[in-house]
Amino acid sequence: MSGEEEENASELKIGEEFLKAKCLMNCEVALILEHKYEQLQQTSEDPMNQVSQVFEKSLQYVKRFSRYKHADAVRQVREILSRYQLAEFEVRVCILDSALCVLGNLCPETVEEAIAMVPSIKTKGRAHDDDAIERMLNDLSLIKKFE
Amino acid sequence: MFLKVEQQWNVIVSPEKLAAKGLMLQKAIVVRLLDDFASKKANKDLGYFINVTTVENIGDGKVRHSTGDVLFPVSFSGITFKMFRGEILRGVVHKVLKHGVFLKCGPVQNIYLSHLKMPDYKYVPGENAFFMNDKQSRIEKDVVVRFIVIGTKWMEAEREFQALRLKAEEEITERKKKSVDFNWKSIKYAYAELISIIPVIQIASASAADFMAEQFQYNHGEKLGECNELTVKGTSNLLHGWTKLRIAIQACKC
Repeated sequence: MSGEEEENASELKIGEEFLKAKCLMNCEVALILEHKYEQLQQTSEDPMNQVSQVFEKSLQYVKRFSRYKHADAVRQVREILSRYQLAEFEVRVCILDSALCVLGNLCPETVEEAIAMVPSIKTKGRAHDDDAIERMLNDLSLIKKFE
Repeated sequence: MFLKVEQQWNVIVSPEKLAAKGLMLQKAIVVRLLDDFASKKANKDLGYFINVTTVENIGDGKVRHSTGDVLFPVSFSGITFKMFRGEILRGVVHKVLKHGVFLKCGPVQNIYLSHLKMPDYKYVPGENAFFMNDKQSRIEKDVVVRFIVIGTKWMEAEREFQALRLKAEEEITERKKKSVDFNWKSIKYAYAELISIIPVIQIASASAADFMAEQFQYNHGEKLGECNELTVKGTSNLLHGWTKLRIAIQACKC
C-alpha cells in the first residue's frame, strides 16, 4: 500500500515503474487506436468482434475526449507544451510528461484554470509567470482554430 | 492517463505453429502476444492493457521439455491506461443514485463520485434522477464531469479497477444493519478477499481515509484501524457492496 500512497498525480509523484513509461495525450491515443481499427476493418468484416472490450471502450473514450483530431495538430500541441514548460527539466522526463498530458487533454482556457490543474507549473524552479502560461494557452487555442 | 510502456513478456507457441519458412512463425508469435495482451485485460501496476503498438524484438526460443511448446521472450511497446491519485480526468455519468453518481472514463466503468464530494449539488429524485446546484447546473446521465481521483484499488479476482461509494447508507434497514453487525467478525476475512478495491473520486479535497474513519464511527461508535475500509463496504448496500457482502456471508456459512 505504501508504494501506492506515494503516487500522486497532482504533485506529479508517480511510481518508479513509470520512469521508463511515457504519458500519452488522449488525442495521441486516438490516432493510434483509430489507425489500428482501420487496419482491422480492411482485414475483417466485423472489426468490433476482433478487439477486446478494453480497446473498444478506450477508443470510444478518446474519440469523444480528444480536442485535436489531425495528426499535425497533435504533433504541434506536444511540441508547444514541451517547449513551454519542460525544457529545463529533462532529467525526470516521464513525470513532466504527465503534466503535459493533463494540459493537452483538458485544454484549460484561463491561466488560473491551468494552475489549478497542474499546480507544479507554478512551483519553484519551474517558475513560469502568468504571461508565459497565457502565451502557451493562446498558442494551443490557435492550433485548434486552424485545425 | 494513457501510458506508453515497454514490456518484456514470454510468449508460448505450440509446436504445430512452428514453421521454419517465411514469416509464419513470427506471425504465430505476434498473434499469440496480441491474444495474451487482450485477455490479460489489466494488471495492478500498469492499469488496463489497451493495445500493442510495436514489437521491438523477439528473442531466441526455448523448448519446454514437458510439452514441446516453445517459449519466446518478446519485447514490445503497448498502450495502457492507469488512473493516479490526484489526477484530473473527464468522465461520463452513466448512473445516478441517491448518494452519488457512477462515471465511466475510458476502460474504467465504475468510478464513484459521492454526493459528499459535491456538497453544493442536491439530489432530485424522479424517473431520470439527477443532481442540481443553486445555479441550475445539472449532473445527470450522459453529462461530462471533470473529476479528481482520490483513490484507486485493484481487484485481483475481476482484474478490474472498481469504484465504491463512501457514504454510509442511512436508509439501510435495522434488520440489515443487525445482520451486518452480527456477521461482522466472521465475515471480515472472506469479505476482505472478495473486495479489495475502491477508486474513489472527489470534487472537494478531504482525504478518503478520514472519510472512511468517519463512516466507521457512524456505524460502530468506535474506530477499528484497518477495518475502516471494510466497514464502508459493509454499509453500502448498493451494487457491489451489498451483493458482495451477502456472498461473503454465504461463503462463511459454508
